[in-house]
Amino acid sequence: MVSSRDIKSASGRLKKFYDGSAASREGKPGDASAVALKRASSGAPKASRDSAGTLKRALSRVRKPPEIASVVFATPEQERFSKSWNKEMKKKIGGNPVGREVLSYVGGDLPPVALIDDHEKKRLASHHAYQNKISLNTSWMLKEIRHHDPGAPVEKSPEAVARYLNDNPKIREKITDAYQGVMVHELTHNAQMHAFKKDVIKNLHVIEAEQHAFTLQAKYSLAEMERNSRYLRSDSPISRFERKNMRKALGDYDQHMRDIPTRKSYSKLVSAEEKREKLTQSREEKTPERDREIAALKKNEEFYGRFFEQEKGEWPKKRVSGLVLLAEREAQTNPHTAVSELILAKSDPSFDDAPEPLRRQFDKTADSALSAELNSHRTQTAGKLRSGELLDFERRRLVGAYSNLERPIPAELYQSQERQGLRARTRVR
Amino acid sequence: MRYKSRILVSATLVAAVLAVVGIYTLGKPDFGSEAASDTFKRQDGIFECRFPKGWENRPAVYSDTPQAVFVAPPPSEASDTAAVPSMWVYFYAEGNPAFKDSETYILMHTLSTEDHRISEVTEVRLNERLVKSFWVERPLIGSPENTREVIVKEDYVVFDTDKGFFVLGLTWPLQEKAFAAQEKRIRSQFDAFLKSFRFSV
Repeated sequence: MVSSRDIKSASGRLKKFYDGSAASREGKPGDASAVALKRASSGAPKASRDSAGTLKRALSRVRKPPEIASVVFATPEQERFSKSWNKEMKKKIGGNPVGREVLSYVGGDLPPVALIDDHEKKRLASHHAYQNKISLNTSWMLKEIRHHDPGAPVEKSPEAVARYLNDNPKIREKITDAYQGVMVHELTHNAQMHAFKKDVIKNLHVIEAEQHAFTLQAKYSLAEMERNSRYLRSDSPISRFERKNMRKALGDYDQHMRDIPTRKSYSKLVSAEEKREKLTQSREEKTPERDREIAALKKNEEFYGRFFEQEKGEWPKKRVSGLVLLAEREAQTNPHTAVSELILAKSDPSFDDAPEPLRRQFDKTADSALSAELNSHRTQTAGKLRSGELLDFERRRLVGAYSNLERPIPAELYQSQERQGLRARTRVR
Repeated sequence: MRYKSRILVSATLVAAVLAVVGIYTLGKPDFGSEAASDTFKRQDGIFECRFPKGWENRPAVYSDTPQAVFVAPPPSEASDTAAVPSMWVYFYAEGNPAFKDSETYILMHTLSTEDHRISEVTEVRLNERLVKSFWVERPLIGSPENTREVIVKEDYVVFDTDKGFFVLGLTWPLQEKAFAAQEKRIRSQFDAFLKSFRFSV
């Protein structure tokens, strides 16, 4: 029999570019690949000069980098928004162990945050390495505002949204709660920029960079759910999206990662190793710039290789607790999904070894979600809101859920079955 | 309504599966006139397959799972497309930390949640081997990134081996007009991809 360990060791000997194997990437002291990545100093960030300015000078002979924006904020209102947003974000993210790690690369101040109307790419948020800023799409921000304040007198323009958020700190507080995961994703790109310093060039955007950012976003949210019982409890659009992404990451991490290249914007991203090999084998004239690019890619490989090697096997261990925490947040508002999450948690190989407090939390959440499902079933039955066939289908599904989660099945679900049977017999006569 | 759609879905699935089985009995894999293909062979010999020419292998970096993820080239940089099709293979060896067995994998992907549409699981014979087949419609990762939620339909084929289980599939972006005209061709390429699949574990 071949075990996963055998497969791993067999695979480990192979030349491969996707498993982050450290064995093949451990450089000797002095190698470019062995250079430890520098964290930002705790003082004020020097990103503009170190990451963009030096880079621009270094690469101007290779290819023209994008223009560096001289003005980040269109108005003082937006500048004020950026400062208050970042102040709250830094406090929240800095309280989380994963967030602290990201911030240690970012440095003293978070990059400025600009509200923009991204009609073209329609992104929720973006990191702009050359401008050392993060942009947030106004239309998404507006959806979030409308969730918390349905009658908010605010138009869809960056200026109006900035003004509203500046004038309504309580709403802003709720919105920064929901945006933490999104910000950690973008700050991870900022951390990558700082970590690679002058090696940041557009064509070093490798697939690992996105996998790294999505991984840290999920890890952050999981750690935050563990330490903050209010986190992701809201039913706001961004909280729902964050929960959905968490569910996918916890359910099938391979699928979660597969979704990255399936998005067109990422479909052309290749791994650092693949990119380096292509560059090394290319017939282009060997120049110092090309050598620098190859060395930078090697450094990328080293960094991501180490990161992913450390992370390997860690994620599945989080599945049971993560799914229970998610289900707990959805037990009342979305009990159907919560029940599915609990069934998944229970099917996990590690469930039997779950510690007692987690088991108690599981049972409590199961009771809460099943009770909400049962209430919904009662309403549907009493109001005859669905056909008899559908009601019976739902009843059987509910009995299956109670059984799967090993909770006592309410007698009324059987009585309902008997009534259904009686009706069926009456019809036959 | 939902019940009727389930029946319709089951009928469609059975028809699709029968079509696949029919192709399998024809014998050799044939990308032939539909499109050229490339061959992917893992160096450890765990599996090999053919995939459409021009598609790129983009497996996850952060995974111990032996895998291949072939991604179609985007129609053009300027197109309004948000997602591209992909074909994929994963091998979960016994004792892997992600899934206890193929039943757990199928359970995980067929449990109903708020944003998924799921078919029944059907057992069919494929190249003398019993496989399980189902499809799921779901949103892609990073939906927060776009104001438009990207929905994909994924066809799954799952089967056990002596040493674990394989999952093969196709991810199809449902709302992408740029690929709509190519659906028949790409589905036929997916059939050829399945037929060409060989493994050693």
